[in-house]
Amino acid sequence: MGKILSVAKMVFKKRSLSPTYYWMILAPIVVAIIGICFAKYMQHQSTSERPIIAVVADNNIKKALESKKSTSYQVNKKINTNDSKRLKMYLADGVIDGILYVNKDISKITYKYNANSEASLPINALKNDLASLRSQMIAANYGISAREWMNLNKLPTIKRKILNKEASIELNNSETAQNFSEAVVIVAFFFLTSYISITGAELGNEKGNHLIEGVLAAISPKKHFAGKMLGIGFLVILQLLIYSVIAAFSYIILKHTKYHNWFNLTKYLQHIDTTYVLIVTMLTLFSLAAYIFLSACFASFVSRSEDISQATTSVASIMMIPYFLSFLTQNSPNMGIAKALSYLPFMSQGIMPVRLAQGAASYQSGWVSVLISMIGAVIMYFIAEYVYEKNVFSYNSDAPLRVIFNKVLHR
Amino acid sequence: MLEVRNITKKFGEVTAVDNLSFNVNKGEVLGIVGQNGAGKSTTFKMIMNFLKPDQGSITVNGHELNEKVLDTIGFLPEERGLYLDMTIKQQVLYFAGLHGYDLKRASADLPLWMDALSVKGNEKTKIKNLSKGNQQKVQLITSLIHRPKLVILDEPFSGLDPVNIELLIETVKKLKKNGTAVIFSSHNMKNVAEVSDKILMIVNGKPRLYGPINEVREKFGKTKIYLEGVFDDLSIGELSGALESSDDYPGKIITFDSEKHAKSAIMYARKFPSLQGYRLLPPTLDDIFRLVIKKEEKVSHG
Repeated sequence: MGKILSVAKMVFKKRSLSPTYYWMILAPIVVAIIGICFAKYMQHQSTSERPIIAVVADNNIKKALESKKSTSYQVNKKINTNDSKRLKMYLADGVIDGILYVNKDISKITYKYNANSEASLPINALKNDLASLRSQMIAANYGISAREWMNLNKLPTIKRKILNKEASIELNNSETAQNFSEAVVIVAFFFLTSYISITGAELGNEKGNHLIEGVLAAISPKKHFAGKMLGIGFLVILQLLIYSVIAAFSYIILKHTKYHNWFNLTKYLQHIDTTYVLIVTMLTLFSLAAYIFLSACFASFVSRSEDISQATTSVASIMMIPYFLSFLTQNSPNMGIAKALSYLPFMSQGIMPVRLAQGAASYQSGWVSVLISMIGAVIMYFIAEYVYEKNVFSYNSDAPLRVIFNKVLHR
Repeated sequence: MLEVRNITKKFGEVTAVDNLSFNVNKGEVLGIVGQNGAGKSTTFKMIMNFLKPDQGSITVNGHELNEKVLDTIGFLPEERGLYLDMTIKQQVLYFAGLHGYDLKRASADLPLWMDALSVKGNEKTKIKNLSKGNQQKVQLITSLIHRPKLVILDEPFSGLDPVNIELLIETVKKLKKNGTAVIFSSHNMKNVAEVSDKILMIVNGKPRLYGPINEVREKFGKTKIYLEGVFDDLSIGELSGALESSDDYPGKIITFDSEKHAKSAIMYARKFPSLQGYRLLPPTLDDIFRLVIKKEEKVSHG
């Protein structure tokens, strides 16, 4: 065990003291923060770019548009004139951004605007609102009151009930769970990409730089492999700890600031189901382990350091499959292929969380998927250990993928 | 100490090592010589348990190779490689730890090794900041830091300048004095002759010469002659068994394939009035190496 720990400590120390590792950890957070800030900025911009318009129309239409309180335009209530010249002057001076001309039966509509204005064009919003007004007016002609008209247009509410309700997610929380699952799939993708490249570098560099003979003169290949994997495991734990600390710290800070409302944190966290979070986390961790071991398999065939990227890219390509499938599953969670893949190691981490979030799979199914994923990771460890032991001293002038194909074809 | 018996290793149709046997005792130095691809590195890899022999056995002090046994061996591979971003101390202690050696003792021994091998820089110097020669010395330290009972050095002299070769020879002599068994491979016969007690010559995976250096040389007899005088008219084509000749003022050295032919040549040279003296000389290891290779080539060409 001492030798395994020596290797593990070396991997952990070397990586955890490297700035690259911290950039790898913090990059998703930085990206998320930039994304949130950008979204907020865009929201703010769209509010400030809301055009102020004057309406030249029948009083009822004018009032109806004012009462819509649209987010896409604002009716200037102070300007109460139909004088075309004055309105044009207001438009030219920038007092208003546009003039909406509507005839009595809303059959002829014109929107005049200043091309130099920074405000956005509210054409679509006006089209929708006026269409709604017109249908309301036509309905009134047929003796249908405003209340009756609203009732006619009201969307029906459908209460969702599923057979295995006890064992699946509360559907009231479904939307939150879906958001959570999407976030987990994206974060897991970052996690996996990073650790695939770390594993490739850890195993491939020593072989590519011909360090391996000196190292394996002191430790058996199996123990060396175990040490490397343990060291990478320590790095995963450190990353989780850092994330936990950042999350707790951010929550405490946000709770006491005005930004709290930005995220609706309390409401969001109330809706997250512990069982769901546990299943998703375990699936992510076991698949992370499986991908690390797969990456180790590929890295065992590296003969030159420059071939490491080819080995890791191959694994990353496999990893893209569940990532994209997770988005497809959101529309059809009970599709046959989605059902099957949600139990398959290497795939389940991207698909099962989405199916659970949609109520398409029960928690029992989730736990079965976790169990299969765990068994898959353990089997993958032994396969990777075997492949590493058999290939650690074999050097080949071909690139890793060609070596793998040749080995498979000549078996 | 190390007993290698009848080991054979094949890679597909190619026999890399063919029925090879030798042994090394405590405080003994064995030099293994052979052309490139002769099977020297494959032999070392089998001793280090990187490769399993198809036939034969390898034991250390009567024990088959296992992790405990391998911890008593120090190995310097032919392909050099170090963790360039580590300091000398980090590197050496990491390898000591991998061998299960006490790190405090390793820390105490490190400056002594650095001093003995004249490594430039200090313990905190990063490997990437060292010259190639110094990196090679650090790698040697990593293979010796755990005080192994058996040291295997694969081409240790390659890439070293004459001063560092001398330092390495001195180190091997010190190891031998401390009772460590040493095996090393080299193309440089002078170095092999200077430091080895025994020699093993491998040709195409087969052992061709094995034994104490003096015995090997005696076995070949005195195959060289030194003729003092001017012999402008003497062509070595006239002398049967003559392999090569070189000028060595104030005379000529001629190498033969056997002592018999060398003696015949002296009889022939006596006819020359310019002959002022002559001597029969033993072959150098270089001569022996060339002789063996030539014989092997003759056999293989029928």
